[in-house]
Amino acid sequence: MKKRGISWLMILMLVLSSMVIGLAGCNQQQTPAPAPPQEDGNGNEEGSGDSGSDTDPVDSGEVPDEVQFFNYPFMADPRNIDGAMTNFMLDLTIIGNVHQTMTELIFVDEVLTMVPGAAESWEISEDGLVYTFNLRDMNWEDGQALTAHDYALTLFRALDPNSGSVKAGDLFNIENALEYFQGNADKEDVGIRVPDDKTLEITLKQVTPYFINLTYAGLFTPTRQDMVDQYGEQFGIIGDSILASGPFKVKEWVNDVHLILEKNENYWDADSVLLETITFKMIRDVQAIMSELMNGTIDRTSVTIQEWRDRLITTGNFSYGDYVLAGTYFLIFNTDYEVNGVKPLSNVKVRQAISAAIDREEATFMLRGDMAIPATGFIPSTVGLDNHNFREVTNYNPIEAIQARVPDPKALLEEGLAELGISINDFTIEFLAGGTTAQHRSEAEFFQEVLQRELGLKLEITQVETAVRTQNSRAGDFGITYSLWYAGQNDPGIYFNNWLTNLETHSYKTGYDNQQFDEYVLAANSTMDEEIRRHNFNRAEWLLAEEDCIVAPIYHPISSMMTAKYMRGFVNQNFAPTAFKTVYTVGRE
Amino acid sequence: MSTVEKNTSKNFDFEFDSNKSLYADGIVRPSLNYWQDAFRRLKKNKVAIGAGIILIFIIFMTIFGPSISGHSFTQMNRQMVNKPPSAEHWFGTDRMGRDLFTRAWVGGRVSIIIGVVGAIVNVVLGLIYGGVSGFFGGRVDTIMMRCIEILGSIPKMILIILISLILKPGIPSLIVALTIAGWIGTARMVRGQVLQLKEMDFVTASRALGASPFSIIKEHLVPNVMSTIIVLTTIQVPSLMFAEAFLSFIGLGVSSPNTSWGAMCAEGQQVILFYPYQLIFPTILISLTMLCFNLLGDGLRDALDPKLRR
Amino acid sequence: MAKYFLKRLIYAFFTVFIVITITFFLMHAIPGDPLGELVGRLPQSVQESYYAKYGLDKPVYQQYFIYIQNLFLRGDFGESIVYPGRSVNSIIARGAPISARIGIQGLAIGISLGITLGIIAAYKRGKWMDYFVMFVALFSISIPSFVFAAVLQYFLTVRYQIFPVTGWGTFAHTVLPAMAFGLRNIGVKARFMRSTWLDVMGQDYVLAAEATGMSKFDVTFKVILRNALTPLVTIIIPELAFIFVGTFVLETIFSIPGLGTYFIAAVSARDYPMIIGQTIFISTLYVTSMLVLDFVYVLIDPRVRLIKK
Repeated sequence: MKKRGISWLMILMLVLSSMVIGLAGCNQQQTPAPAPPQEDGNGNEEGSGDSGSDTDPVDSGEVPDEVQFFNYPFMADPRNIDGAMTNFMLDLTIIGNVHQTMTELIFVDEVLTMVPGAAESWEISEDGLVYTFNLRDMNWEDGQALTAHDYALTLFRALDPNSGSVKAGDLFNIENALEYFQGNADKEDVGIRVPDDKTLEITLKQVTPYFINLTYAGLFTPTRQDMVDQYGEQFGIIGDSILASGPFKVKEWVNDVHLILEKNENYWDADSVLLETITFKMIRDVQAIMSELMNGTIDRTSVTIQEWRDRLITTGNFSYGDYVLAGTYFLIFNTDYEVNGVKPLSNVKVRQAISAAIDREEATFMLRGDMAIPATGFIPSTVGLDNHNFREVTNYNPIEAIQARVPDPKALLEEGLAELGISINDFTIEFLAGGTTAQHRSEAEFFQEVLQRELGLKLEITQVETAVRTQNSRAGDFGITYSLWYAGQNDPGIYFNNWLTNLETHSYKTGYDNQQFDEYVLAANSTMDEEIRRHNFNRAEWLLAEEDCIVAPIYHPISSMMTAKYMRGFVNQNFAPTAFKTVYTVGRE
Repeated sequence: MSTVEKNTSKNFDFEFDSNKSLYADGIVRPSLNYWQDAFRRLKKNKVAIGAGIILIFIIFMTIFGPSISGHSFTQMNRQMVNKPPSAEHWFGTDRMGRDLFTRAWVGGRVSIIIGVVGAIVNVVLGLIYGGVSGFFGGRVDTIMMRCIEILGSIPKMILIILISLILKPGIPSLIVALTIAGWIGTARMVRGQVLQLKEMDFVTASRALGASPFSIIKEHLVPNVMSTIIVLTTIQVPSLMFAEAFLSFIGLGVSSPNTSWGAMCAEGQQVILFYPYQLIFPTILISLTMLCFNLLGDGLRDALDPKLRR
Repeated sequence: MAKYFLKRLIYAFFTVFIVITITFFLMHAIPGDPLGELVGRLPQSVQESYYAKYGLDKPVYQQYFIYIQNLFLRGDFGESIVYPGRSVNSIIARGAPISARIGIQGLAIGISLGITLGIIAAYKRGKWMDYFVMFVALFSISIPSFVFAAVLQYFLTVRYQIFPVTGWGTFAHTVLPAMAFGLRNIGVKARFMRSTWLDVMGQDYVLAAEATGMSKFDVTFKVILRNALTPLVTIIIPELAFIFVGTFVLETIFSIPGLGTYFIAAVSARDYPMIIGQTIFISTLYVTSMLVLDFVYVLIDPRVRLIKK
């Protein structure tokens, strides 16, 4: 496809904030999350007046417009506005605006912080197993009281084996959740309890550091039984079935055209909501989105095309901020890849030579222009570890390390090949491109050219559609491939799961088998102790990106949030669905 | 095609020997066979000849163009990214600093191969199928025509997309996918002509003389539908190139590192506002080529049309 | 005659049935599966329940019989896999009229301008006007539609903000896509019209009409036009079937909520019910239009007699 049109469509549709953490998952979509991410700490802030993290209308002294509305683009129709079921960024963005999540994750003084949402307060027991949420008094859109039962219902619906939710896996660390899902436990045995209407209590079966991160996303939104009963299969799929608990309610949903939200007067904090209407416009083509922004028919979008970014800035009509996204683009080596009876990538020296041979500056520039920074590690520079920046606290850069370690990649390659008893002309390596778009073409052609130039290594490109590509990578049917992973959560743990040895399915089957690595990751994932987590994650990254060199991180993408100058009040959010309740306009013409 | 050449040369030998004195005497005007006559008329059609010359030039360039620029079509250059046309890079460079002049001709090679080979495949298939169906007639004809009708009822684009996904990516697969339904029109047309010809006296005569069906098809029917076929081939080329461009647009075109005009147009369309030359050159080339094939096809049709022969 | 059409109707039904069969198995032969992306990282048991939910756990031939049963007994195309809860029937019912609107407007532009240009060219045959018109017609056929649509969009929405860039709802939204759709049609129709017109002009009955002393106007509009339009109608009727499915390129570039984008998206996501449902829809329309065409032939061309079968 593309033409970038399709890829973007796919992309946005497929941005799963996959959180199937305990099992196999990492978020590996090819895709920028539309949520405005964390401010870049790496000197890429060119933002003039970025109206990002803001400001109370009262404080600023500006007079909000009489008529308040906001137009925002979507690249595909939402699928299912149901927190129990959906994994798609588009859906989650709507959910984030029509529902009140249990907690919210926002930047407070430049630090990503969890703040109260539906829960006025919450406690975690000493042993880290029991989470208690104390809910505020609030009502549904129709005035009925909202209770903890409504939040529990969403969780139970996700775990209901008959509903077949893709989100179920996120909750398996709850006591007896897996058993309930498999039909071996009763509802009463599951560690989701509602002692009274205003209290939700979750009991885990083991310490799970990432668990709290689920509370600001779709699973921790309310669902009301009578609506589910009334709409059945259509629940969440048609506008009428969506009953709001958040700042906005659904006014009109015309499939593939637009979804219009309007202010929910029964929202507990309705007084501070200024926007009267939000229109999510379905626009399939990136170029068209940019044109609409230029023409003022939409008010804000994330821009990842450098030419467009520059042009929009020169109009002077936009405030903008460049953010390094919480994602990494990296090559993946398949150690089991066999060609002509040999396994060239089974030798660590061969892999290290390839990783060291690639100039990250050149790759970043060629593939993304200014819309990325060269990778500083496997874990993106914006991911935190228990309220600190992971890269800063580990103070380790595997790319610099491997390049210092391998001053002459060509010689190391020869050495590795000699150990295998083969010469460089004996084989070509299959390079599995990420899809069929023009961007995917360029990426594959870049690595083909660079490895030929630097190492004399020949790549043969396989270019298949995403659906086939997913199958191939899962089956280990590739020599080298690449991925662009975006974190669904603010935690390094999920990045490592794919390389654990004992998984039912690997998203990328590489034949990597190192017990030491498994131990590091599991040790880090089963404690709340920051020191232990930091050490073990650091060792795991060292193994993966340097010592065993299974991945070669290339860059971290940048997105430029482009916002019309009259827009105010956006709150930077990363990892959580974007909520627009604080947004308003001043001086829109 | 080979049949045609054989016929022509046979007649030519014959005429050359025996008619020489007649020419000299100026008594009889040179007796031109059908092909010579057609060619004479084609030569008068300046537009078609012009189109033909341009096509020859374009084909020449797709063969030699990549080597005269001094750049390889994959060679990147970080210093020369997205540069407009210059003395060094005649068509400018793309986002990875690759020379677009070289890429345009490498891409043209793919586009033209797909167009021409696809058209020939279409026509040969249609010729065989339509010929057999029309020649044998009766039940064979009915069944064969029903099959065509069914195949024709599957939307062509759906068929092309499904087939191109089933086959392993590559230029041969692309040609197979693009031709899977393209021969239907040819087959119908050939069948119609054969049905007409079959009733003509010279065929009846051969049949009476005991000629085998195969030799009748070869000796009489093929040469007689040849003009239709040449015209069809010519005007099918553009539609195949067009279909390839569409497939490139949806990402199912040729695979890397190969490129095609369609793929280059699709890439250029994304940056139309910023680097229009990246779209303009491949668009001009693909449009010009399609235009020339169409013009040449029109010219050939006029030249070969028996009705115009009087 | 009723018997003839009944027979044709049975044939048509049979044709659609075979088309369904071919498409069904072709579709299942493409590598990739619709649920891979969604359930790939879920535990085995969950994955299995997903495949079971869509009946994809059964052998393909069984899926085929189930599908045929649902289709013929209940007219049910099934439910989209990519958009759970939405029936293919409803998606088609919503998208087809939108695609058709663009198609009809585009065809209207194409046919009216194409006919006019074709007639002008025919009358000026061999003159520069003829060459000019035919050159323009050919050129319009020779530009890839996505290039033309993109250029149109750039000039008329960004450079000069005359039309909305994308969207759906008002007439203004339909203008650019219809123009882009019509362009190619102008070329095709003009070329077709010119050659038919020339053909008709050379017919004996035209000469005869002229000989009776009819005015040039009458000859042109009463005799030639009438006869030249007949072949045109026969090529337009099958085209009408295809306007309901829309064009992917235009619907993507202008974000039109028609069927065209759905189809390509369905193929790349391997959304089986969507792929097959749309194929059946188009094929049925096409086959129906061929039936109509037969009927029209009989109506407008007395020379067609139904003796043969």
